[in-house]
Amino acid sequence: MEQIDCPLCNKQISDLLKHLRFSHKIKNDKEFDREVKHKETIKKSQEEFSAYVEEIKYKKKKNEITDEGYRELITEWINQHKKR
Amino acid sequence: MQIDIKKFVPNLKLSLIDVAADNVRKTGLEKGLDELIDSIDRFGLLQPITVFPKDGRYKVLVGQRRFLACNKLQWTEIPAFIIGNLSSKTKVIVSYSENAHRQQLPYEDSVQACNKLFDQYTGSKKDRIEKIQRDLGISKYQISKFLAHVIVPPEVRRMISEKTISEDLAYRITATNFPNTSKIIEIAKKAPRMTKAESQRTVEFGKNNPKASVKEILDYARKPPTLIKFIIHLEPDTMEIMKKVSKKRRMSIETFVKDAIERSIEET
Repeated sequence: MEQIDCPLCNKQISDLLKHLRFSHKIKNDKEFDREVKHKETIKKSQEEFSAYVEEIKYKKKKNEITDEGYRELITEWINQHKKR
Repeated sequence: MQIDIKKFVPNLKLSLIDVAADNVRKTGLEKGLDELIDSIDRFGLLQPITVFPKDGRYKVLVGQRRFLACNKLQWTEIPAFIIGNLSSKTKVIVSYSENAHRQQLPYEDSVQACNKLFDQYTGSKKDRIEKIQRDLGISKYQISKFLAHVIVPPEVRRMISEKTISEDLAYRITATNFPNTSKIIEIAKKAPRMTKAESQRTVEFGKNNPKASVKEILDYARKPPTLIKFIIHLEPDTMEIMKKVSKKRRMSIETFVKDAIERSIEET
């Protein structure tokens, strides 16, 4: 049987529906869409965080912010995104 | 033809009962017997067996497997309906009717029952499936199938129940086009009018072209482009390697070769 990539976890699988039911507890298209959106939100948030870290790392390198300021900005970002 | 029940005996001695020669169930007696034994052990015998008297003993006409299960459970008594002695022909007809007319739980009920139990039980997937097997007395393969079939859109499941589409085709159409429910339903509605080859092409083309519209899929299924057949002579060693690689990739050798040619063209 041919193998395909699971759209949610990228694992190589041979039976999509069985995999979705057993590994992701999905029972219909709505649950699947919700899970895809959830994964996208997490990915987007991780990308935003990485970009922000790169940005303030650059500022720190240019001595625009101190080590302490860097840590504070990271904590602030995490706290702000926790509240969302 | 009405069978006259003479008496109901809630505790007929098992030692007095034998299986009637007229009982039509001769093969597959052991199939699913463990599940039946387990079910009787847990819930008791819900349906009495039917026996008729002969030479001071009783012969089982209906309920042979229940009788065997109770014997294996080392019960000493069993609830039974006692009927009058029938002609040999009538006994065969009654025994056959009981076996042949026994209905499997309908498809939709099976899907719902398996999924409800699966969600209610705790433990690993394997544990939960084993518990369902014990409860419903159906095979693990069937249970896995019914659990995954919950993803098939309800409208398509209704078509399966009405027997306008096969379980297998509905499942493959869903797996190929998921999560596009409207596409799945539209293709499934056309499927009953397709030949076997057309429905096979519908699935294959949909799988290889996930963005194709329903019209494109159906057009391809009805009028596929002419394929060209090549015969390639390979060294035995190459063939062995190809067998191993395609097995590893879980592909047929034909698909593996076709993919390799197409990839090579794309790369050129």
